[in-house]
Amino acid sequence: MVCPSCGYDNIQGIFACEECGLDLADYDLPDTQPVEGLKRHIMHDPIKRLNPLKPLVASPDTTVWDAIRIMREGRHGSVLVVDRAAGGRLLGVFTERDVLLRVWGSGLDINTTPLSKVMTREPVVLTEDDVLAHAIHLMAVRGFRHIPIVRDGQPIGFVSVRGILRYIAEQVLTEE
Amino acid sequence: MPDSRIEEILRSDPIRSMHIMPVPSVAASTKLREVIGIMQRRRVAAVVVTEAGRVAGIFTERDVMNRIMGLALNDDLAISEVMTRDPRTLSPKNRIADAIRLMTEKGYRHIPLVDDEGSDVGMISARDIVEFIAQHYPKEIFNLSPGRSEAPRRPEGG
Repeated sequence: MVCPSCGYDNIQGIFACEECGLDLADYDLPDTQPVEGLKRHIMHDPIKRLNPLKPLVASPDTTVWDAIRIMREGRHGSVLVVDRAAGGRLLGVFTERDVLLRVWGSGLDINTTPLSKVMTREPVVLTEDDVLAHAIHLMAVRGFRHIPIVRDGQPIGFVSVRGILRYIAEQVLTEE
Repeated sequence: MPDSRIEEILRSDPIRSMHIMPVPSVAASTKLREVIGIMQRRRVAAVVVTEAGRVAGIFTERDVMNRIMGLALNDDLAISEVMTRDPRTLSPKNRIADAIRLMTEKGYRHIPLVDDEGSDVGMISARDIVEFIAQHYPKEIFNLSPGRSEAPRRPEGG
């Protein structure tokens, strides 16, 4: 079938377009309406289309103080905690929300407390090939605001609520 | 097909049609300590600060993070001394698109909502909008089968 996205003429019955990778399942069923507009973007566009930002990273023994400094200087509200000895494998995530909910008023000394004590371990992650619907699901249902994107276990970026919103705005608001 | 009309809803419908959950607001004289306590208990990322009923400022968890280092633990300050004063506001009559534009162009995550007299009537967040869009696709997003994203991700041998 002809890919509705890029026009490539695929062999019949194939699940994904050979040229652009678009999931053709929705289009191949005769009783299914073609998926259009924003819905198509959400269901089919991979997260890499967001041009995800590079993550701020820290180590498990980085202090809360230093993590906050990294977030302030990076002007971003999360750091990914990686095991540098293991090739940068993702261990956890620490966010400004954790500063509010786990650190402030806890009695912990931010000058000495390591991130390993306050980070969220083994966070739910996405890959750059997962579609936007997965990220939106995790945000709307699970309440996550920053979701790490990993490749071979190593964080290469993150997807944020605002990143999703920006992409949606580009699709929906530019044609006015 | 209601599915295809979310674009039109986002472009044309007023913010008030989203029925956003109310957020706590605090008076300008409230102590920082109490405000942070409210944010912790209610698990909200931002509060609106009012003076004589009018929106005077906003205080967010980003501010909490900045404060913990700066004047830091002097949590006896009034919130009016540490809030962001005179934040950009919108009316519930403004379109959802106006909020999306402000958020994406200016980087705001929270925008207080005011009525014609400038009184506090709530707040809209970037997350509210993403959730609103998600609610429009219950089948595709809320019932999304646990895909690769939910599978435990441990590197081989780890």
